[in-house]
Amino acid sequence: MFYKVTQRKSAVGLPKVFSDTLTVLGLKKINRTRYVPVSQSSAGLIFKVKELVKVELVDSYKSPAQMKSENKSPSGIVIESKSSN
Amino acid sequence: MFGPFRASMPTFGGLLWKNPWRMSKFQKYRQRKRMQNVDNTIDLLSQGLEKLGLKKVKVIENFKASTPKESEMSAKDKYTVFHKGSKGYRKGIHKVPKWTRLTERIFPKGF
Repeated sequence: MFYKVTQRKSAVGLPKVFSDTLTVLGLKKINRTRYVPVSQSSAGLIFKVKELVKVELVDSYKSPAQMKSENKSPSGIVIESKSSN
Repeated sequence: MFGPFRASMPTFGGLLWKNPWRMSKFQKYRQRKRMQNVDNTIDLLSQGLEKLGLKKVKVIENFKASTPKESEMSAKDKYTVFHKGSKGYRKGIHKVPKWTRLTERIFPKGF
């Protein structure tokens, strides 16, 4: 079970704890999403920045690389065959 | 008298507060949405812990016990905050610095 955490607001101008907490959660920019395993400590971290993030409860984990590949738009061409030389 | 150089109070210089005393209905709508997002987040945090059978987190439980939800609050409490210098001891929450990133829902009793 994971918290799917998306940063919705910046911590600019807030005390340093907020930006530090976001960094610990793996969030650097608005609209970044990270999957954090459900635990007491992660719940506490998310609670700290509750006004800055949007949270969902999900069963499966997705790595940043996986999310990036899913977001990629199709290239628009299909390679049917490649020349031998 | 038109365009960017028109003679108006802000362009004449000096310190002039341009944010109105009352919030617009759109500001109020967004304020409600932000409050609902916080409520939702708190619910999900404790739901996740409950599903895995983990212990409750003290700060979250204290927050839940002390802070009313958006749906339980009066319009006065949602859109205004206690302010000792204002008439009626209240001012619009949009006058508070960083107000879109704060949760202020508990006010002194009777005010």
